[in-house]
Amino acid sequence: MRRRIVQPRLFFLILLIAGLSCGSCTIKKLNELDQDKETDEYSTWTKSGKEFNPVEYVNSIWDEKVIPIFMEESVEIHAVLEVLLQDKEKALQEYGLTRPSGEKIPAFKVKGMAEVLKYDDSSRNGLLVLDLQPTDGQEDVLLQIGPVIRQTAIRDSLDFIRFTDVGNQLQFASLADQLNLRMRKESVEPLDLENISGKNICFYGAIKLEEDQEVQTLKDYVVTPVKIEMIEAEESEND
Amino acid sequence: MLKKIIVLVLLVSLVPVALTFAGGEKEAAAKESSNLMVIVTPDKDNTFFTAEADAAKAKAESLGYETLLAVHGDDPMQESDIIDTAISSNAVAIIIDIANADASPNNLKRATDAGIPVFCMDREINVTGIAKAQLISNNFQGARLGAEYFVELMGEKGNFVELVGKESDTNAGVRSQGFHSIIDQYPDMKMVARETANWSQTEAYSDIESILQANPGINGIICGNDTMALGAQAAIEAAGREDIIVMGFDGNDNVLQSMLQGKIDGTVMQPNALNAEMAVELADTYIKTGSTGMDEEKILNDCFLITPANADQWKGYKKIK
Repeated sequence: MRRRIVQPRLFFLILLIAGLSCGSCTIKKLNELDQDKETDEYSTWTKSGKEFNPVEYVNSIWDEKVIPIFMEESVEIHAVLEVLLQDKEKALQEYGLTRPSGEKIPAFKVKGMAEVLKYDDSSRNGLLVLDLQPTDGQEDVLLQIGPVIRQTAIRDSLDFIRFTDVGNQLQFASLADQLNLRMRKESVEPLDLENISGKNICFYGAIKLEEDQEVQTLKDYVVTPVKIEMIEAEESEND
Repeated sequence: MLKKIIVLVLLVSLVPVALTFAGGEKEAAAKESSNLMVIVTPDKDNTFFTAEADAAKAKAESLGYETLLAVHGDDPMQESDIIDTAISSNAVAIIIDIANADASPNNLKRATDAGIPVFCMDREINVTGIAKAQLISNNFQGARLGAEYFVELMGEKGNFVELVGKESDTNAGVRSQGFHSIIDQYPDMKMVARETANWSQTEAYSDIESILQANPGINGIICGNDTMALGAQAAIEAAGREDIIVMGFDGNDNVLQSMLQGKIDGTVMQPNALNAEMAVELADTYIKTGSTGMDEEKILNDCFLITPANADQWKGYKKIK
């Protein structure tokens, strides 16, 4: 009986009210979810749908964050390699990057002084072959200076950079590329590569290993530099 | 007239209450009765996706859930229908490899609005806050890893062909861009043809067959997935051109076999069984505790480079050695 009294318009009204009340439940739920989310200064990139600009971003962090973090946190490469070449797991625990969750990432910030034995440009992935101080004529470390820089070690060594913050994998990769480009501009382009053999350098850099990667040869732990500085020989300082 | 208005007011005030009450009862009943995880993948013919579906199904069943498998064929409309089915079946969770990064978020949001948590595996959606977790294969990193190996095998120079996957699939573009972000840094690497072979073995075969006739001076073929690599490999064998380097992507068992026989030169293993299992585990944790317990929604799992030296260490997209 009742149903006959109800006009189509009324049904519409009822549905509308029912819909609104359901809608309000959902909104509350999403708000709660948003509140649960950790907010940080870069989270607006994805939430607002604003396009991420890797160049601007790298410009904003290079001098203020990237360089200071490497200067402060890098460990003598001798110490890292000594453990790493014996026991990768132990090196991970001692020197690996630690996530807030406690998870260890096989990314290492390293520093060292070395003599450049040669600049190997047989590949576009050009390498400085280094003999670490104190020198013994042995090849100890490869420092990749490009023009092609492989992989994403600088990005992966910086804990404040999170994948979630940059939206998607392409942006995450372009961020790594920009870090590599900035490094080349600041640290590699000023070098006189033709005359670098026999010179001494001081470097800060990153090593990133794959999960199941073995660490045996020099090629397995190529260092991506962040900062390279020439060390003037003592004689020239006296001149 | 007045009587009518009173009845109207009464009805208006009562009906939503009744509806809400009925809805609440229904929801409570559903939560008690349904134990169903809906597992959605793109394709039932591609072993990559069947392995993903199988891994999710096995994990879900081992945790005591019933499962419903569905495929959307990379079609957002079909995906939408599957979401409707999941909603009407009162599923406890949806585990999905999405159809399209732009269109899928709206489909998924309907499920979350209906109270069904969604967990993405393999492909990512750009929007955060819809899926409870996204277990993503880092296709871009994988493509770059594969391209680096391809360039190395080519001696950093030569003529190559790129075979691209289905244009509507985000990962086809992601992988292609990943390849180029590496290869384009080598000026002596010349791309002589770029064809869309739609992930298809037969299309790849006919594409390479005709490209080889027009451009016999090809040194390498880099493919957006393994089925296309198998087609390309068959075409170069038919043309007696086994000197051509072929690179795949996915980690398909047939490609691993081909590599062990010295045919296809390399591929990239996607962690898709791992993604599927993690998605189901996080769904289970979410159902039981109301939280996935993870800091981040998006969890990016890297791909692995497969060469003839380690091709025997993988089977069914899982590491066996």
